[in-house]
Amino acid sequence: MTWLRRFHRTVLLLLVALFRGVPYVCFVLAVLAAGYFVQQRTAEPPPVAARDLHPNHPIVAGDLQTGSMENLVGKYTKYAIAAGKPVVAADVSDRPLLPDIAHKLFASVSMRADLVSSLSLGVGMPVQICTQTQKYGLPGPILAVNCDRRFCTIIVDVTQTSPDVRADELKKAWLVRHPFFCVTDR
Amino acid sequence: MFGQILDKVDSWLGRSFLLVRFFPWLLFFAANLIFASFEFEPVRKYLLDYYESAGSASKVVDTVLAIGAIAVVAFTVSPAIRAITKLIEGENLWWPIRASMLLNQRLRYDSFISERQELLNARARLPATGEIKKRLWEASLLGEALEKITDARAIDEAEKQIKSIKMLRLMNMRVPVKEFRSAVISLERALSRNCAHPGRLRGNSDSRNPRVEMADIAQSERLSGLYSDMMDKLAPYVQDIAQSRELRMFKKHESEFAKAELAPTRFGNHVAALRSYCDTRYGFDFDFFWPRLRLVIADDTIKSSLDAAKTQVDYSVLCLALTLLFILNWLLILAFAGEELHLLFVLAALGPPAVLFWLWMVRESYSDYSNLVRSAIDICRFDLLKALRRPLPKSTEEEIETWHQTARLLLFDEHHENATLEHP
Repeated sequence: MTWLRRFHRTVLLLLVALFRGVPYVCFVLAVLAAGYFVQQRTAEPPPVAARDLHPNHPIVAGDLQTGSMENLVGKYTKYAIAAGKPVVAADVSDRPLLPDIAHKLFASVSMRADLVSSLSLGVGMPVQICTQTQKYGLPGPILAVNCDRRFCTIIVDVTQTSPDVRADELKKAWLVRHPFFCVTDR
Repeated sequence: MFGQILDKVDSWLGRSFLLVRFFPWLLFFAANLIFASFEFEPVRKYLLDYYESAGSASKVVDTVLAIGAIAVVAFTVSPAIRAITKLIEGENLWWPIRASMLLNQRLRYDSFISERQELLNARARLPATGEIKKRLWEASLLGEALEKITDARAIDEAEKQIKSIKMLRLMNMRVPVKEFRSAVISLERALSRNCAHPGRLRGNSDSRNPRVEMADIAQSERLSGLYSDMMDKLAPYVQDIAQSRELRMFKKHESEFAKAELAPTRFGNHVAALRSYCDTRYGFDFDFFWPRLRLVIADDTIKSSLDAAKTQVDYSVLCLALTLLFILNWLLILAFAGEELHLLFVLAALGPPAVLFWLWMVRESYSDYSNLVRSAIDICRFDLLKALRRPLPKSTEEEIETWHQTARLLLFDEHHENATLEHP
């Protein structure tokens, strides 16, 4: 076991040699810690909500007060934010949030963005889906509008347009992978 | 006004206190004020207001009080210098750091020993100047006997090698033994095959071309020049530079390391080297006898030189400690109340170089001080024996025994030996 003893001695010697760096490492850590504290203290406070903001609210400059708000304007709130509460990057989303579409039937319609803008289509507005020149079902509210520069995808609630399907029943609905069949006694 | 206040403080407390204790603290407080004025707006405003109305009576009183407060702080913490000096020597350090530093010093020590041994070996391998001169003279006699140039290429070879040694001499560098030996052999060969005395050259009787003879004269003159360069300049130089380097290395080793004791820091080893010097030369226990010897040194020149050197050491030690305190202080202040990162960058960039500078100052000033102390001990140590009423030794062996006996009596309280006293 001489080699083991020798190995231990070598490791011990290496450790002893490394300890010489302890004061330097301590100094660097102290400087970094002090820098962190100063940075934390001097960082610009986040802007606060000027009014109550609902979920999925598109933020405009008037919604916020104090602090740097450039990064937040034009984005959508992820959840409700009360007036006076700080608004940080983690509270907003670049795109509108999906509406609550659980237990609903909906249709996704794609339209030109300029047309959507000229018709002022927005969330909650009742709209009629049309195919060619024919009405398709009954009018239903818009659940979400998601636009890029040229096209918008509009999600419309069509639960009312399919009287054969009751939204309540969807609560008990389940899925199977195609081509398996639904089993009735489930 | 400031000068008058300092004069007053000087008359109360003494010049040594002013230089060693008060000024470092004054600088420390001034540096803190400057840093605070950069960092905190209210301090800056206060200082500007103070500066604008510095001549008013209330401000004079404030200044006096501030300087008095600094003097009190300096006086109160002055015993700490001894503890700080011990810390710089490497005592009371946390053991892993102490062990690590000891390892580093051991490696330095070994490197010194290797370098010394290498220099010693190199000098021992060098041929003696007398021997070289004899060999070259004998070779030149052989060449003169030929009365002509028989091997011009040997002269070229010797010139090439001697030129390289001349370059080293011009740069005051050590000449490698192998190179020097090779140059001597080349020159010896050239001298034994060619006549180095142009006047002794004999022309070729059957030759009708005088240019050949002129060329021989030039070669002979060249060889003669190389011979005289080697005899008069190079051979003595090679010996001298080897001796001087070895001596310098010996002195450096003696001043930086003790014979047996090894301290974790360079400063500690300087101190140990001084102790070792006194012990190995005279058997003089430095830590015990030096404070007593200082009391009996009568020569004012030595006393004032020692005081000045000690003042410099203490000043450097305190400045080093205050620099460390300043850095630590401002790291904490900036961490808990700092508003900008600029000062932190300044502190991080200039702090370590400042500490290293003062550490270097401590070592250098102690080196000067220890040289003076050695001189003082060499010259004045018998004054202490006289003051202790001990008989003066007749030989170096007897001196070592006298100091050991005195130390046994005073330091270890061993009374079984009846020491002889000698009264004036």
